[in-house]
Amino acid sequence: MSKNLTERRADIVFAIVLMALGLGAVIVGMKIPPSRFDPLGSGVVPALMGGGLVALALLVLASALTSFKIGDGDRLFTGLDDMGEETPSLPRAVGAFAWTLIYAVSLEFRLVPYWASTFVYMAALVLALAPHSKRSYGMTVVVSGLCAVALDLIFRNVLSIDLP
Amino acid sequence: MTINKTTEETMTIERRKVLVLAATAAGALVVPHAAAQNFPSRPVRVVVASGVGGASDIVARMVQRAVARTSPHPFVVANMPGGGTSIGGREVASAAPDGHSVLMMHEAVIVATAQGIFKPGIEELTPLAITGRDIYTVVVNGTSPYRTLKDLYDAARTRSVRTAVNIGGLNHFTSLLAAQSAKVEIRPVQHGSGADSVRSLLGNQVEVIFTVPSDVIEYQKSGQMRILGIMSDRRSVYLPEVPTTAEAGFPSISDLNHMWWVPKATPADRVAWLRGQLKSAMEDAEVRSQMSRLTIEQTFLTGADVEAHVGRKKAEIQILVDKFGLR
Amino acid sequence: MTLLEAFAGLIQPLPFYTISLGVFLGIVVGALPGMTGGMLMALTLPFTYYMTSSNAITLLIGMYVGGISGGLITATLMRIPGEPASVVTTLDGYPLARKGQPGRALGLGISASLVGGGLSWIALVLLSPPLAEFGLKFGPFENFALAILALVLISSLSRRSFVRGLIAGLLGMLVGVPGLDETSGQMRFTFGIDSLSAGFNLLPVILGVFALSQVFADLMTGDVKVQRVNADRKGIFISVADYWIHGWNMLRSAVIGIFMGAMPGVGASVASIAAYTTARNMSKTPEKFGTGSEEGIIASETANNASSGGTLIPIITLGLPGGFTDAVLLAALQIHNLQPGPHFFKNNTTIVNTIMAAHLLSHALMFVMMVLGSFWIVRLVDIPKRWISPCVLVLCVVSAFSLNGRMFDVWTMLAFGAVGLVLEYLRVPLAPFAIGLILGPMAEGQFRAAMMWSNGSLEPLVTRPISLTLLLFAAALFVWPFLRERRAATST
Repeated sequence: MSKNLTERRADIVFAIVLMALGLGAVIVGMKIPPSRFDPLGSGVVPALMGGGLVALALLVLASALTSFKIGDGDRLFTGLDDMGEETPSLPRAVGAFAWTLIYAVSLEFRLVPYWASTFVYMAALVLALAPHSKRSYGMTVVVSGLCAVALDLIFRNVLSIDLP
Repeated sequence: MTINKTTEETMTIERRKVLVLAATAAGALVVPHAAAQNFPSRPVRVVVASGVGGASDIVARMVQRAVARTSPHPFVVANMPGGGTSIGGREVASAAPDGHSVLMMHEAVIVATAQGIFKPGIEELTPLAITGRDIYTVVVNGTSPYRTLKDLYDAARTRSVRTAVNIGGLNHFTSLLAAQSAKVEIRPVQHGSGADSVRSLLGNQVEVIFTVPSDVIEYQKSGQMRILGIMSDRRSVYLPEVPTTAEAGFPSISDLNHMWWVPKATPADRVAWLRGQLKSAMEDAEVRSQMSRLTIEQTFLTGADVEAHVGRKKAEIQILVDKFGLR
Repeated sequence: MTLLEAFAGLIQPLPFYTISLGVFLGIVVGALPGMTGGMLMALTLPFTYYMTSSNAITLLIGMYVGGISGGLITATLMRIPGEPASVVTTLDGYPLARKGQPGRALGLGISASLVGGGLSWIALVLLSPPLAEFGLKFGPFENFALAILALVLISSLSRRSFVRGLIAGLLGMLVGVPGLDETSGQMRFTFGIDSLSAGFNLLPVILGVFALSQVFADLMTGDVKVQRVNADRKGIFISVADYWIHGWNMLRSAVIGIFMGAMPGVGASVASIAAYTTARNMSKTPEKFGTGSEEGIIASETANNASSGGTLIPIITLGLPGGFTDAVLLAALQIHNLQPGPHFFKNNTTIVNTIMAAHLLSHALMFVMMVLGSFWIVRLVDIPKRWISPCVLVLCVVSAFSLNGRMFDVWTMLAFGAVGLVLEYLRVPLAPFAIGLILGPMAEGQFRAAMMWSNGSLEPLVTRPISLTLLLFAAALFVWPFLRERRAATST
């Protein structure tokens, strides 16, 4: 099994990012002074973790550069690779993520009441994913509206949580 | 039913949809701002800066029930533990000062402020009232050889006596006060919660713990624990046979007062209304009996009294912080 | 009131309705991604003020049991864990469902939940005092050794990709670092961000890494009409033979669950992880794990339900809570003027027997509801993705917010959603990440507390008997798979 070029490039970037994270943890950790009651201090263990990450990142880097396999890519989740006959659509996922970010921003700054923002978010998402037909507009609006209002009522009135 | 739509029809449907959505959004903007000018216009949110089931939480919920019995405007309790009370504290300190946000937390917020953990700190809060006072006690395991405080502190001088505390928390500060009064050192071992400390003493993992009577009174009755002293200026009605630390020769006082706070800029009339609610809750018969059962002294301080108390505590804690470099 | 009378009391109309409602709501909330059973219990607390103490307790216990059990539904059908305790169920439940046996996957999980709960009930009724006494012997060194034992599981869980598994574990541990460090009372790694003073909350991170990343990964695939699992309800009733075949696994996993439940601070998630990895290490077919192994599903679900009984042990014997759900139960008791403590067990036999009866009855109700419900729960996968995905996203957002009433947790969840996607792309296994996140802070905290306790000496780690035993277990667990491979290699 040979690694293709994209995988190797991804691994190299991954290794570099890990090394940066690890070094960051080591640096920040070592700067923390020990406390009076705990001689070990709170920075030692994160620094060790960071060190471990750096070491492992080097292994990944070495593996990617020399294509010498140190441990195969195991899958504990039937992950993103088994798409089979279905065609992947990255723009759709990215778009959904971006739209979710916008929804979160609207909640963060309390631009509109919860039920309104949730309604718009849900409806738009469902419509974007759906094949367009007259029937589905109506259904979408109704169901999204119901969900948004139901959630608002349940959380705000029944559970007394101050929704944004 | 026609299957093919003309482009025009599709456009009209699209436009209509957009208009409906826009109208809804616009309407939604208008409605909440026609909000009531009367207070409270919605339930008052009481943020308890510690976990469910803790001492503050139980007191807050008792008061919540009492308020619900007499007032049409309910209190709602929300737990926001974490960050040494800073998560809950900051939530209220930065909330709108309209009287709908209240913090319920004992001296731990003062301790957190002094250590720089809770920013912006109690400076941004006004204390409403104290509803109930709990006293710290010095407790050892029932099988231990220590029968008096003197025994314990003598041992601390020679061998190392360990205590289970939450470093940076109120019981840690209490252990420092106690040790200071006897000029000894008691080694702290980190235990995250009061229950962990109690468990640790039950299992004889540490020699002493500092906690409130309600945590240990059951174990004292069964002989599994022994309360050596109470860190107060007078004996407790719930533990009349336990000497005060002063009587034992090592005067030190540490109590835990259940305090309520609001953001600093809350208008005076709303502060007064909230204080009134708390006062009548403390006069409620069921609250009184529950507090008795929990061995909490039924004090009620408000106004200048509670501000004086806060000032006093701040000063005491600051001394300890400076001495042990805890900032 | 004897235990039998307590059971009879629960079959009266109002109590029965209460407990059924609790179990039902618990299952629903446990299945829905976002809210957990524990959160539901805390939010229901104000409503219990107006009930009698026994109804309040039965409602909460019903929710607790339902919550732990319900998580397997979405874990199996959609690869989205409804609760952190169901994370490992996704590892084998979903692949089995995808292979065309969703009914059997659900059936195995439900039966395992019943057996786990039943066995832990036996321990609750018969062994509470000795188990509680044993738990008291755990000091910081023992807790640290226990955490080491569980962390060793990271390595055994990712045998084929050792390096990436370790990376995942370390990353998980690092995520647990920022915030207030309890042992020193100092803030660390917060970089001045006030919202980080409590660190990253577990639930938003788990939701992001497991639920969100799964939703977005699903959205990436072309067809949005059909879920990847077919609605086939065949096999929901597993046969008596199945119980026999999986019996040893069930028993072992239940013991792990009871034990972990009775220890403070450990909980259902760690129990299911520990049982799963132990099952994998002891299995004759370890390579099947991760592809739809029945043993994996059984181990995970038996253990997390068994921990429900274990967790009640310290409450009824010592009056001490072991975790969040315990704290809620204790709060409910206190509000009803009951003071749990050592006398509790002896003097309040009514409440104690009600607790025990409610625990068993909840499991029975859970089994009935879930089996009957399975017939149309499996139909859930027929709902097109364009409805499921937005619903899941909205639920996750509102749940993350409800945790603490602040948007920071929502942002955390979104950020870790992206992280989860990236990790999956890079073939970094997610389960070790979860283990590192859950166990890292515990291991570190207990180690430093142990150092404070022993004044800097490591000696008690090996001189204290329980600690030594746990470490030996850990070493054995670590070495056993290598030995077995060696033996297999030499015998061929």
